[in-house]
Amino acid sequence: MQIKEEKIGPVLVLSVSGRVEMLTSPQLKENIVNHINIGEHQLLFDLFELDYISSPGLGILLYAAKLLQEKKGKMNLCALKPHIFEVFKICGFDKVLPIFQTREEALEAFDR
Amino acid sequence: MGERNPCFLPFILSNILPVRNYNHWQKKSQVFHINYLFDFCYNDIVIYMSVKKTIKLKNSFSEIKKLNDFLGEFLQHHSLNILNHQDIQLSLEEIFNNILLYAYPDRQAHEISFQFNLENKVLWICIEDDGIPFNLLEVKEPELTTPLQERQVGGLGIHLIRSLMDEISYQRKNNKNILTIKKNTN
Repeated sequence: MQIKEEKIGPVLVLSVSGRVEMLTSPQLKENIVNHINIGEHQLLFDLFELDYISSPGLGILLYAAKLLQEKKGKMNLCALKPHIFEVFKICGFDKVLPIFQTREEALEAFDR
Repeated sequence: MGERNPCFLPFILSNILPVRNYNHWQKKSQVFHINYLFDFCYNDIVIYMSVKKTIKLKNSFSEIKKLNDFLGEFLQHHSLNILNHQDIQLSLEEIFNNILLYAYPDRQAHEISFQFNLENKVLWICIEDDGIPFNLLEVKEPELTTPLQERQVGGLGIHLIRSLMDEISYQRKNNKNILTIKKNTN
């Protein structure tokens, strides 16, 4: 798993690639929590290069969304591969997390 | 063999043992059961085979790579659907993680076996562990429709297994948890 960080206006874009599973998900959690703690409250997860995610990684995304909601922040996701989107749908994430097809659409949805 | 050339038939048959019901060979759509790692189609005659392979893993999270490699080779060897690959891989990881997290409060070394059984494009995987009794079929489904602030973070792994597999069964036998999952790969 790799995480690429990029600041676009007030939004921090985290591009997560590779595999998010039991062994790699703690690194993702640490990265997200660190950013939220230093005041990054508008996060966009660009998942275009995410190949695989299992329940530990899904749980971390849900945890991040809840944490940001408490802090009146916002979290969007974009560019999910079809099989990843299918997993998100099975977990009901499409009902509670804003998921966009493109990065541009997802950025537009933040308060800028 | 993919060219369906009848010249291959004697070669194929002489190389597959044991072949039962040999006399019925010319009957169209006759189903043969052969325990051999091989399958092919010839005109309207389809030979169905049963293939069994097992991998045994230690109770360590780093072992998941061996399981993924084993699954990848197995599915590729039998030309099974890539979409099913992701479903099966995810289910197996969730099952393996669950065993490692909850089955062994003694913190000792244990072995978990995964027996793959492919029959007529239906894949059965039997997972055995000697941990404390645990029937994942009895676990309550997570609530997926509640608003974000009320949603629980856990419980997604078992929900994924239930959603991605076509059948799941559990039994406790000889002090072992025996979980069997079925996936139709057609």
